[in-house]
Formats: sequence, C-alpha cells, structure tokens
Amino acid sequence: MKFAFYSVVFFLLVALNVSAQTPCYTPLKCQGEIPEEFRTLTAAKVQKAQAKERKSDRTYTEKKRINEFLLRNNYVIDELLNSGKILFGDSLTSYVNDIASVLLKDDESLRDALRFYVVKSNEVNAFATNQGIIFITVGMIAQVENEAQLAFVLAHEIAHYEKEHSIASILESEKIYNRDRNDKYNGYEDRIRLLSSFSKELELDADSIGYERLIKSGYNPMAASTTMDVLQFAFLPFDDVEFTGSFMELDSLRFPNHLFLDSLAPIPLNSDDFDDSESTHPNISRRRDVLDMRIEKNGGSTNKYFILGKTRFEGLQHSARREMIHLDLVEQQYVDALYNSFVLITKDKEDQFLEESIAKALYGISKYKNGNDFRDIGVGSDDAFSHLQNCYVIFENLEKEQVNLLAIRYLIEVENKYHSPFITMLANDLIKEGIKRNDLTQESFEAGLKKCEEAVQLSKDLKLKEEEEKLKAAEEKNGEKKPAETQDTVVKPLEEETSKYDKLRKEKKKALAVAVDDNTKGSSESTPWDNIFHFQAFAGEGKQAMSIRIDSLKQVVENQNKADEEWVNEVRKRKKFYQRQGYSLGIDKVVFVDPFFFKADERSGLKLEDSEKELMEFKGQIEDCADACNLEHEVIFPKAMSADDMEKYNTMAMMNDWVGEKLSHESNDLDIIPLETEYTAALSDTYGTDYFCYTGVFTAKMRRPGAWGTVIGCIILYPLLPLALVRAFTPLRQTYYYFLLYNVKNGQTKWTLETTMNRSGDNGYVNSLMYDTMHQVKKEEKK
Amino acid sequence: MKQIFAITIAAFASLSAYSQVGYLGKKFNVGYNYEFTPWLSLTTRVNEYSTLTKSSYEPSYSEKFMVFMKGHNFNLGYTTNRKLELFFNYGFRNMTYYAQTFTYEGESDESWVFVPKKYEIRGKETSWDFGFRRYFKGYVAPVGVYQQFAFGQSTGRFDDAESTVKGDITSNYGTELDLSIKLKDGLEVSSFRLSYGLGIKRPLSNLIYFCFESNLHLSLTKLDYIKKVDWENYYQSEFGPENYDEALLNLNFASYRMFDVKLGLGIMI
Repeated sequence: MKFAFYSVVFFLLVALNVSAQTPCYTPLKCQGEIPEEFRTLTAAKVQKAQAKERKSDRTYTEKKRINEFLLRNNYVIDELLNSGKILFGDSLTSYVNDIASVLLKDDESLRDALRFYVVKSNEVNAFATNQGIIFITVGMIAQVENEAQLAFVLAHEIAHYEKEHSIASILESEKIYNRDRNDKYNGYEDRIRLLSSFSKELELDADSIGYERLIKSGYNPMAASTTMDVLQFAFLPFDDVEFTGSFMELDSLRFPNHLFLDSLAPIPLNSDDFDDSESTHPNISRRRDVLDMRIEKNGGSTNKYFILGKTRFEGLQHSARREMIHLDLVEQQYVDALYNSFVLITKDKEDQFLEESIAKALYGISKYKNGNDFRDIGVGSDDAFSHLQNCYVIFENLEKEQVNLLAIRYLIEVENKYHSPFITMLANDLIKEGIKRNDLTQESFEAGLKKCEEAVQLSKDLKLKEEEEKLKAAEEKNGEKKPAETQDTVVKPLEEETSKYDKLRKEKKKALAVAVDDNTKGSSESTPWDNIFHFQAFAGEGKQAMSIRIDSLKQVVENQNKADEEWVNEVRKRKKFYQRQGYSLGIDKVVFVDPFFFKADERSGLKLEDSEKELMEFKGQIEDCADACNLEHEVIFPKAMSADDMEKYNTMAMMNDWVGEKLSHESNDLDIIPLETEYTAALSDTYGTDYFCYTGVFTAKMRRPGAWGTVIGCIILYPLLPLALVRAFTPLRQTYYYFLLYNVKNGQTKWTLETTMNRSGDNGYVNSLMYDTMHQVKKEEKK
Repeated sequence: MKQIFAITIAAFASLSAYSQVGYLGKKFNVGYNYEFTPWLSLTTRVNEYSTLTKSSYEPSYSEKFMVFMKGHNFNLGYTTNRKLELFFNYGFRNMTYYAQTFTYEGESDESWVFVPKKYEIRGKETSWDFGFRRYFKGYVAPVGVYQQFAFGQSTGRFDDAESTVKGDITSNYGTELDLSIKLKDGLEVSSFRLSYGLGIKRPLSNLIYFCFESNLHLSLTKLDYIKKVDWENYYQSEFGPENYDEALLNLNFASYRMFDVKLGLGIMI
C-alpha cells in the first residue's frame, strides 16, 4: 500500500516536472483563416483603387501619377503579403491589433479600415500603406521597452494613413518634377533636397498626430520621446554583456586572452544628430526635441506604460526576441544570433532554444570560416560596437580548424543534453567537413589532444614545483636547512646526462607549459599554446566518443567521395547520353511552392498585370504537365488558396525562408544544411514526399543590340536588306526558365535546371520545358 | 480494317498511359507544309530578234527570272529522345521551267538569223525524304529550333502533253510564229539527294504547332545532265542551237533542287 502510494506520488511529481519544463521555442506561424486580401488578385485591387481615384477632384496629370503609383504600390505590397514574411492570427499580431484597438477606441470607422500585420524581419521598422495596412517588424517588438512605445510607433503609422501621406508625397514629387523641368538651374540634388524636406515635414506631422493619439489613449507621453532612443540604438544587440567565451560552458576550456580585444569600439552615443538633408526622415535628435517640447507643453495626465498588461508584453517580447534570433540564423547573421543568445542565456540559464541557437550559429560560423567566407556574415568586427565586437574578433582570430572542432564539441554537448536529431545531423556534418577540409583524422585528433593534455599536465607540475620551491625557500628562511644530497640527486645527474637537444626539447615543453599558465594570467601575446588550446574542449568524457565518431564518419565520407567521383565520371563519360535521355530521378511526388512568372519589356517597363495573369496560367501549366507525366503533385500558391488553407500558407512561408537560406549559401559556393531544415523536415511527413520544388519563368522583350548596324551593312548587300529590316524592327525576346528541386529532409539540392532561350515565354515552349523536366523527375532508371 | 483501327487506338492509348518523351508525352506529330522554292532561271533576251555574226557569236545572258515553285509536303515525326526526332517527308510539286531556245531562220555568209523565244515546260515532281532533326540547346523535341539531316529521292516527270508554248513571237520578217515545243517521249529526272536544313517548330497550343524551315539539297544522281553544261564552251559552236533546250533545262533543274523554304502547320499526337 505504502509502495503504491509513493509510486503514485512519484509519477505525479514526474508528470508535474515534465509539464513545468519550458517548452522549446518554435518559430512563429500564422493561425486562423487566411485574410481575403492575401488571396485577392492584385489586378482586382488595382482596379478598385483606381476606380475610387477616378471619382476624386484631382487634375488629369495628378490622377495619372496616382494611378501609376497605385498600380506599382499594390503589386509591391501584394508581393510582400504573399512572401510568407507576414504574420497574422498569431500572438504577436493579435497583440499589435489589441494595441491598435486601444489607440482607436474612439474612432471605430478608422479602426475598421486598418489592418495590422507583423513582418518577420529583424530590422527595426514599421510602415503604413495607402491601402490601410500597417506593418510592424518582429525586430521592433523585440527592441522596444514597453507597450507604450509600441503604441506610439503604431500611432505614428496610423497618422500616415489617416493623412494620406503617401499620396501627398506622390503629388509633391510631381510638382517638384514640373518645377524642376521649367527651371533649368534646378538640378537633381535640389530636387532630392526638396523632396526630402517635404517628407521630413510629413514625418514630424505624423509624430505630432501620433503623440496626440498616444496621450488620448492613456499612455505615458514620455514613451514618444523614449521611442527615439529605441530607434537610435536598435542596431545594437538586446543588451551589452561582456563576452568572454563562457558561452561554450565547458569548464576545461579557456580561450587565450589575446584572442579578445582590450579596447572595444564604444557605442556611438551621439549618432542621433546625423545630417538629414537628403534623408526622408528628420534626424532622431530633432524628432526627440520636438516631442520633448510637446511633452513639456502638454504632458497629459497619465503615466501608464502598459494598458494591456506588463506580463503580456514581456511574454510576447520574449517570443519576439527568440524569433529575432531565429531570423538572424536564417539570414546568416550567425555572430549576432550567437551574441543575442548569449545575452539571453545569461538570464535564462536552461533554455533549449537558446543553446540550440548557439549550436546552430557555431555550425554556420564554422562552415563559412572553412569556406573562407566569414567576412560575408554579419557586420564584421570593424562595424560592431562594444562587447559584440569581441564576439566577432574571437572568430576572426581563431583558425578554421579550431572553430570547426570547438563547434563540433558544443554541438555534441547540446546533442547529449536535448537529443535533438537535427543537432546530431549538424554535428555529423561538421565532423565530415573537418575530415574533408581540415584533415581531421582519429590520429591527428588524438595527437592534438595528447599534446594539449601534456602541456596542461606540465603546467600543473610546474605550478606544483614552484609552490614546493616557495615552500622550501620559506623553510630555509626559517632556518630549517635541507640535506645537500637531495638537490644533487634531483638536479645534477639530469644536467649531466641530457644532450643539447634534450635540453632544448625540455625548454620547448616548458615554454608551452608556461604559455598555458600565462594564458590564465592574462598574457596578450600569441604563444604555441594557441594552436592546441581548443583540444581542452575534449578533455575528459568527450574524448572517446569523438574519436569513435570521427572513425565512423570517415568511412561515410570516403564512401560519399567515392560515390561523388563515380557520379562525376559517369556524367562525364555519358554526357551525350544524359543530353539525349535526360536524368532519371524516380520521384513519385513533388510539392511546387510559390511558382513565379514575370514579364518585362525594356521599352515599357515591367508588365505587372500581364505577369499576374500569366502566373495564374503558369500554375495551370504545372498541373497539366505533372498530370501528363503522372507525377503526383501539389501546388502551393497563395492566390489560389482558400481561407482554410492555413497549413499550406505556413508551409510556403517556411519553405521560402528555407530556400532563401539555401540560395544564399549556394551563392557563396558552400554546402551547408539550411538551419530551417529542422522545421521543414517535418513537411515530408505532412505532404508524403521529401521533394519540394521552386519553378518559374522570367521573360523579357528588349532591343536587339547591333540591329541597325546590320541594316547599314546590308545596304551593300542589298538583297539581304529586307531581312535586316525585319530583324531591326523585331525585338529580342528572351525567356529564362528554372526548376529547383530540393530534399527538405536532408537539406540537399536534388536537382537544379536553368535554361535560357531566345524566344518569348509562350505557353508552348514553357510547357515543353516543364514537361521534359518533370518527365526526368518521374522517370525511373532502367536496371 | 476495324481491327487495324482498334489496334492503332490501343497503341496510342498505351503510349500516352505512361510518362514518355515528347511534347507533353506526345511522341508523334504530323504536319503539312506549303513549299515554295525560289528558282533563278537564266536565259537570254526574249522577244528580240537576233542576227548573230558567225565570227563573234556571243548571246548574252542578261535576263533573269526569279520564280517561286510551289509544292505540298506531308510529314510524320517521331520523337525518340529529348533532342532527336526522326521524320519522314513526302512532297509533290508542280514545276514550271522556263527554257530558252532559238529558232533558226536562215543564214547569210556572215551571219545566222535566229529568233529567240522563251517557253514553259511544265512537270510534276514527287519526293520523299527520311532523316532526323536535332534540337538546339534550350529546346526539347519536338518543338523549338532544330537542324535536320535527311536523305531521299525526287522524281520529276515532264510529259509531252504538258509542254506548251509560252507565246507567239514575231520574227524580223513579220511572220507570226506559233511554235509548239514538245519533248520527245517526255522526260523523267530521278535523283537521290542529301539535305541539310534549319527550322523552327513553334507550339501554338498543346495540339498545334507552326513550322518554318529551309533546306539545302544536294542531288547526287543524273550528273550527266549537268555535265553537259560546259560553262567555258557553252556558247561555242560545239553546242549547236538544237542542243540549247536540253542544256538549259538541265542547268535550271539542278538549281531548282538546291534550296527550298517551307511553312506549315502540324499537330502533335
């Protein structure tokens, strides 16, 4: 009975403990129904907006300019809405909408006209469109100090919409242009200055109206002024915490001091007073001064920084900051992601997301370091300030082999702690990278480790000896003499028997041991110890496991290399065969994500309306071609989604991030597993396939270069003149077609195909290419 | 017949039942091409009375005719892989050749008197070609830009009945000439030929394509006809006026076979 009671209590405790654990953060996703404006065709939106404009009292020229603006603006905004970067129905967006409701509680019609969305971007920004959409970035939510600051930002953007500032800018630019055209002394610079001046007036106007709305809503007016601090220092990490390398959380590991900078670049405190003569916004100092004057004059009667509640704000900012780290990782800002994770982890000690983020950042840093592309990630140490600068400096100073091994060690540590299969995948990939590019072998690893252990041991012995000598000296001082023969037996025979080389070897070892010791004392000079210090990370438990892992992955790498070589030889040998027959990938199902079709004309510019129309047809073509070659398929296309297709929308958003990351690595010629693979891998179960595809067409009509030269040439060969004239009057048409097929489970590119033809992007040619591509995807290799 | 029809349907159905090369999996295409052949015919002045001095006999070749010969072609293509298409082409065309001759009117001690005249010889030609089309980079058979190689045979038949007089020619003596030129027993010219061409097939829909192509032909047989045209000695006395018909006919026939242009439509099955 007693046993049963304790068992029940034990299980209850375990269950409570499990449920009490903070769940690992997962990236933000949209929820609920897809809003109609995401699904409506842009052409319909443009038509509606232009019809409204036709009823206005503006002049013909003004209407013309506004209609052009409406056309371009609607397409740009729709591109953003359908990019997957916009969040709706999630906790952050709901919060932003709730703040907007507080701000507009007395103006229901305006509230109904406005829609608020959060943009998945780590920039600190917000903007309003003339359609009544207000966007605010995750970066902004992550960086503000309180709800009132966020409210001021929204109030400022609401003012832009309410006062139709975007239309006013267009009309003003038209006026300036006409004025400029009539005055030959007015140059381009003057025009920019005039436009900039007008834009700044609008910004100050929006600040003023926003401020009024803020205090009317009951928020602390000081928030308006302090928001300017947020804007000024938004480029900095979440906090400025000393970076020591303790993020590795390995007791045995000590980074040599000279890897860090002694004097760090100070944070520019007066960066708010920049020259704004050609800027669209007034400088922050000026905005702050104007707001401070208003606060002094009419400060309101409330001092609420939170109306919806501090706890809610903190909880959501917690999410926003994690989302920002996630975005930094996706956008290859690995050092920033690592530093921000390090800052947050100093507060939340046990946080799986943060530790895994550090592991992922280290993976990315190591990969870019190995590819000698480290300079391509983040701002770099020259443009970083304060302790973030040290974070950049350490990775700049470390050798690529060292970063590789340190990253492996940390990944294994996190893997052992949280058992995430994705982290295991990254760790294995880094070990393979070490084997392939840094000559990492079991022998080299063990030799390095042995050297490091010997140096550490020797350092310890030296310390012990020093202490003994000190003790002896103290004893001698106290009059207790040691027997003379002891010294002879220890020192003399050694000095007599050792050769010159032995002595030098000993000196070398001693120097190394001294370096180990000096490192902890704060020496700023580089020593031989710097080359092996990183092996400390594997001292103790990690040693054996790492050794075994290197050995097993070496075989995998060898097999992979062999397979790659065979494939290259096969393709080289049977080049003509593949040209004729194509490849046989034997894939049964493919998910096509966000197809692309774009038309341009060199003479008349972008063909936005045509492009959308063609895109709709292109989606149909994909389905027809896939059907024709019996390829099971799904097309994820925002304009063809219903309100309930939320899962598809989230898939598209996730895949767009994934492919963006992938293409960015490929542009650096690096073979890196995109970090989004952790989340996209699950899609293979949802859709029943590992293969996701991005395909699209870009078709352009342009002037034929050198055509008139041919006409002139043909005056001599006059029978050919008609042909030359036809050629001169016929524009050159070019069509670019791409088909990118990815395996979302392992993050690898399965197949890429890009082709350009000097023809228009007529359905027929595209159908022909697309069918051929899908046929190769579907076709199974004959055995 | 019914059985053949059923088998054909079943064959097409089974071919389209699984993934295969071709336009949307369609391997076969049949097409019709309208052919027109620019033909440069060389001849001497027409409708002009000539008195040729025996010692300086040199008729000039100053008049040129650019004539488009018209014909019809039917072709069947079969896509074997992404870059290659085999084809069979059958064509027939009506031909009109312009021949030049002189009518001997008499002679004095110093000169011959001829009346030059131009007349048509009409004939019919049938041809077949078998070859392959190789599609250029960026295109997949059977649509896009291609080059083609083929071999085939053409047979031209000129019947007696179809050779008619072009027109009446008035001689120097004011005599109305109403000549009726006839080829004795007709003439059949058969030649084996090799062709090289460039073309484009542009899909107009998933079923129909538009085709434009041009070919160069090299006729390998009946060389003896052409041999008779000896440019250096052509105008010399060893070719008497009585041989001119044949000589010019052969010359033009050779040039006719060198180049053609085709425009057409086809369907993909």
